[in-house]
Amino acid sequence: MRITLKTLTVLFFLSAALAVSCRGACAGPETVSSSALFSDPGLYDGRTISFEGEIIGDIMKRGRYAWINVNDGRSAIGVFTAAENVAGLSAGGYKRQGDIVRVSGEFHRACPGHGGDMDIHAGSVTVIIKSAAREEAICPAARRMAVLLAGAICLLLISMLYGRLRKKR
Amino acid sequence: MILRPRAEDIAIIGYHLSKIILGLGLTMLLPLGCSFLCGERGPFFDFLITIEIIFVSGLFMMQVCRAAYESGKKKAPAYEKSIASLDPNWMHGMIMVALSWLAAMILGAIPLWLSGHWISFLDACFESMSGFATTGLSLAQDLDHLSLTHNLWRHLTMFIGGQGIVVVALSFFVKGFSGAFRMYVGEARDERVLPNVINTARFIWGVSFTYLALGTAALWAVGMKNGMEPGRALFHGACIFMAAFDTGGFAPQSQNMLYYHNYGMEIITAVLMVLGAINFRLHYHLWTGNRRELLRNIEMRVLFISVMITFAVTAVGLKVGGSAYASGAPLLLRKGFYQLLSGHTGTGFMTVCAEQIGKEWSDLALVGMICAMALGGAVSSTTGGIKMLRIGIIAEAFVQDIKKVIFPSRAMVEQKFHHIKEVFLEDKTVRAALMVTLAYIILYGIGTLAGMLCGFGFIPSLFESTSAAANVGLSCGITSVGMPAALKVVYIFQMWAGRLEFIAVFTLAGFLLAAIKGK
Repeated sequence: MRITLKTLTVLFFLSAALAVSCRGACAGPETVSSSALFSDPGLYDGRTISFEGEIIGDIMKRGRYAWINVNDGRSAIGVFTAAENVAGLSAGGYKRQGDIVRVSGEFHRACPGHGGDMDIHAGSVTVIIKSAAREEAICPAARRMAVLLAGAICLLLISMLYGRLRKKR
Repeated sequence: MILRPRAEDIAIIGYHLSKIILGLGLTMLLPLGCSFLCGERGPFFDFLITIEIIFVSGLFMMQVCRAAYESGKKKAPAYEKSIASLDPNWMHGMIMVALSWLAAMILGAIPLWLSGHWISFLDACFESMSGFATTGLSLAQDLDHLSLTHNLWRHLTMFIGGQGIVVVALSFFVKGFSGAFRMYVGEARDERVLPNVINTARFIWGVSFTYLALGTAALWAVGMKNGMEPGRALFHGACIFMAAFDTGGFAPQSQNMLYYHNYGMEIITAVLMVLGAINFRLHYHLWTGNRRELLRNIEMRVLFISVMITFAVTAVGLKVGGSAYASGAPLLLRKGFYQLLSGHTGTGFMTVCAEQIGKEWSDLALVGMICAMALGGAVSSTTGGIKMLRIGIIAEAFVQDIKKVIFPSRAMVEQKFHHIKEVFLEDKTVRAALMVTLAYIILYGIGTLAGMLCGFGFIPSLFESTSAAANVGLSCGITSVGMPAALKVVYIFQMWAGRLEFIAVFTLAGFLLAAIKGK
């Protein structure tokens, strides 16, 4: 079979289109920040998106499903997912940095199934960074300050007591 | 001629102020104990240092004021009594209240600032005043990693402020003197539930603690049912109760009520918000079995009508603006009505993001919300705003004036309304209601003007200003760490003046003027 220039050109464009579409499929849904979601929620309503952040507070399992709240550093958003997706995950708080996760799912500007909450119905929850304990640093100056002030209170109380005794005499 | 205040006046005010400050220090033992139990070492030192600062300043102030009074007594033998047994007069009482709230703001801000979650002391003061005044606007950074101890304190400020800082002192630290009523009135509580003001203060605490137990238990149960661990559900239940009943609006997590994704929580908080918006005198009648009062009372009637009208405006606004919340009754109730009720009762709980209110709600919906926030709840409750009794009195006065025009000139037109008992409408009552209403409108205007000067639009500025001055706490996005410091100061002033309902603030201004210009 003779390969003409025309056939080669068609093949080139077909393979290029295939490569672009494959790349899009491999990259997964677009990762969106909370700022983008809050500033224009209508743009993403009903679309499949990715959202990355730390799980904060509680992992609230409710039967076969669970709610988690994911904070990307600016704002937090509710994520509704299957309970099996949150098994073994840790939420962050004062003493602990929660799991940093990537959730992928459908974004709802006002979810009709959840009383109008802005949420993501996630099909997958992937841990990017595991949770870890947070350091609780206490400034040495704070200890010194506490001792100094305790001394000042004692002095004041002694002076008040002395004043009262002198008055009685 | 304006008379310059005497040194004795300052000594009396300072002496009683020091007692209130010491009382505030004692309330901080609760978060201190919490930090010890939870093993939060950093917050333990934050509160220990603050308590020590309070005791040093309180005891020092007490000593100085006592010494100043004693030296004055030697010069003027008219002062026979000791400073401790001396009753403050009206001026002393009002100034004491105004200064107590400022002192509470500064001292209450210290542990918050030490935590590092507030980027400046001004931000911590903003948070502290917002808590004590039961507003609920927050400038906390990384709230989701805040310690339980600091979070408890944030909510406790609302519980203390809701009942009244001076009411705390009257209930637990003051043996009882006639000046107590003057301080009680200064905190915008012009109605006594019981003949004795100390008993009234104790009744207020009795009601609050009973509801605290019931409300926390209900929220705890719902929290656990919704997948929270028992310990955390209890902590959240207690915090949310304090914020709901005291119509405060803080929540332990950054998403406020949206964090829970639960309608059970929303129903319980809606009930608590309404209970918080009811006059404590009405609570007394309900507790003593007089349930008919609930239907006959002018405040309850006006509140019902006002909620319905403002909700209708907000709902139409959401529909006209094409909001997704207007697509069905469940969404309209959980987003539109909940926000409206939260605003009207002065709570400020949110189940939507602040940005959503600012960007997605139409101007008409925002106007409905602004009206609800501006009107507020009942007098002698924990809410802010103009208040239902005043709106009712003004409406009755309008009816009376219309009757005077319609009826023959010789006819005697008497108008009465039911507020615990049948009350005849008098001109002085109408005048007082109109004066306070006018003062609130001016206060709303000051904040709006300040917001517009800082570059924000008219409706958002009016929304945020009304929210601050009526001690609501809903935000359309203006309140943030990045807002100008001047606007933060204006909002602090609004929260303070709005909570105290002006008289104490005006008295303090007059006192300062007399100190400068007096002879």
